[in-house]
Amino acid sequence: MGDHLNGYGTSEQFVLNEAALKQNITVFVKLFATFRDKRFMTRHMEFPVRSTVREVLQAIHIPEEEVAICMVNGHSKEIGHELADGDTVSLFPPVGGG
Amino acid sequence: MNAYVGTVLRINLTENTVKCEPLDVETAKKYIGGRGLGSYLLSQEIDPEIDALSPENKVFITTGPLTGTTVPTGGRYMVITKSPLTGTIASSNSGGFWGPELKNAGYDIVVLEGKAEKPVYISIKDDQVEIKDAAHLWGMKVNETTDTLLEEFGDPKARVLCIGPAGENLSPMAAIMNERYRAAGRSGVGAVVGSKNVKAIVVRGSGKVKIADEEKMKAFVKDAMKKIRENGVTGQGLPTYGTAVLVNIINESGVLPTRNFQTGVFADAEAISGETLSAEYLVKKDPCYRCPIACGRYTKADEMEGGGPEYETIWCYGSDCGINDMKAIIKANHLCNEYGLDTITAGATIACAMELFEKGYIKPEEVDGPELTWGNAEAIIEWTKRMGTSEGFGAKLAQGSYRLAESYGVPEYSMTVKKQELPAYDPRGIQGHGVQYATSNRGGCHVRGYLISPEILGLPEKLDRFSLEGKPLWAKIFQDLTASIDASGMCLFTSFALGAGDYADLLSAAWGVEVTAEDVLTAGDRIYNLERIFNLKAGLTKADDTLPKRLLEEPLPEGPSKGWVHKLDELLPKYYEVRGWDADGVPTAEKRKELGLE
Repeated sequence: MGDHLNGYGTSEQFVLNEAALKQNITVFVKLFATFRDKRFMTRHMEFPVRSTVREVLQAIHIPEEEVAICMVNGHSKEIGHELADGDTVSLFPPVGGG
Repeated sequence: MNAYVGTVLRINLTENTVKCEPLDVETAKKYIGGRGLGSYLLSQEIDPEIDALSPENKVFITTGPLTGTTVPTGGRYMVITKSPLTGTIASSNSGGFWGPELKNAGYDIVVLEGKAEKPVYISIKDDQVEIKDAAHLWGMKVNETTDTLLEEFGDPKARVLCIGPAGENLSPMAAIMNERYRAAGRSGVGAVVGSKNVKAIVVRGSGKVKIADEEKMKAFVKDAMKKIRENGVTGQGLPTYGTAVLVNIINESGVLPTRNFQTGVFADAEAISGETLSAEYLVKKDPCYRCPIACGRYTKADEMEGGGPEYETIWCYGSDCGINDMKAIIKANHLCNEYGLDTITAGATIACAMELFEKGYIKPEEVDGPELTWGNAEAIIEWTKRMGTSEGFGAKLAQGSYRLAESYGVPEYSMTVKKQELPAYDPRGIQGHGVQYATSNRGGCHVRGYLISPEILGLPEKLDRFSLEGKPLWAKIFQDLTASIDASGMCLFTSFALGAGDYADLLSAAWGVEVTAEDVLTAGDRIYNLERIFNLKAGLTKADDTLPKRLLEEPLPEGPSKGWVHKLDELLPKYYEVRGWDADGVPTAEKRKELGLE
């Protein structure tokens, strides 16, 4: 269990070697709450190298202003954050309260 | 009288007397009401060193000035007493409709003092107040108690507050329940009511709360409603999924406490998520008094249906016990409501017991029921029942995780602050929230200063959750604002959408005097310091402002918060400084003077 099952990353070495050889990067996209409606829960998606979260949102038709929380590998990031091969992107509409 | 109804109802159980006293409105305003005024009165009337379960302890059930008004979420009441779980001041908050009904009957506060000779309940119908025999109710669970009392009272619109068998058994995890599923849950307030031989308070009122400026109030309420509806969290997130929507977001951040805080990532989070709860178990929403948010859930699993479960309950019975069975969690939640148990302490105590079993401290031969192994769904259901009845090994569990782990000589396995179980956020990956945990006046608690809002949800602004920068001041401001909201009679969840200025406006209209945002924060600071002073007099010291050893020394082993411990040593001195406390965490003479707490 742990890192692998939860999609948090690959070893650094793998990212460096593989990404250098590829034109595209593969990103694991996880959607939550209402973002799942008519979309999906999780999906591996390919994007050109140097793509940002913005390109992910465009590809799955989520308006930027609807995103309340954007995480890359479990860390809060801006929409303009550049993605690396093997990254996990988690997207949430406004949620919360405990 | 302007927002207060002007009467304190004092019930002396030893002498079997009922007395009405006028409310001191000036003092009430200084502490706003609710949590603030109750804490002031408790501090005035009891010695903080007494045994919480002795007749010398008192219970103040208080409303706020905005309780029972037209203000959105203005339905809260609070229970202030000395806690048998923590030895600190306890102030547990509940919603539903009981608080407004009490005010409509003409009372701002009910005080329970002394101890009845035999079980009793209190019946309040406007100015007809009676102490009645409750022999036939003793031993009943919450739903049966409620049904019986509604029938006896003869008015289905009456509101019932009661304890379950856990409160009768004096379990320090016993809650006070109202309208069946609402709980003044934490710090064992139900045991204090049980220690007084009080089973329930039924109330029906025909009056109405009057405020100073109806026109102004109308405008401020409209504005507050608009802000609540337009805010993503209160207008969309909480209404759609309830609090359980947090399961995934907290797990994605790697801070969802799992298997008694051994890790912060739960592989089966999806199975216990708010999304799953809504899709498969939700029957309807179950809102409180005048609430546009309606986060309350009503769910069904097999033959059990009722209110909840909240995020906290799903977490402690779920990932914290290694459970991925939502049905079992819903059933455990339902049993907590029926026996009158605080779900957080109950679930987290089972999680602690599972770790003690795993590590070999609890021997299989001691356990007269299902094995305490991670993920055992039968165990969480059966042990909840037996905590509720204090039966066999369940009686040991019903004392809470600290006393359980301490009895094996290993209190460090209890994930508590001041002996109260921590809630569902691992502070190793949320540094500000950790300093808030360590300094909460009622021990481990998330609703004394919800730093999850800026550190995870990005409200009102996004903070780096790993950074220490500025966190002590954030913790102080959140704690102060929260104290004022709790004192006002409104729900804390409005603070996702409203700020100190909004609460000031609502209080201005209610009282008919100008109240500023600064006044609101100062009142909160005053309440916080008052509670602190009570705790110091009760014997707590700086040494109690800490976190479980695991969170300070064992780095999170995996996930997005991997490698982090909580850096309390760096944060605490700065927190004391921004509070105006000395190096030992004692409010300075200057600070007390500034707040009028001399």
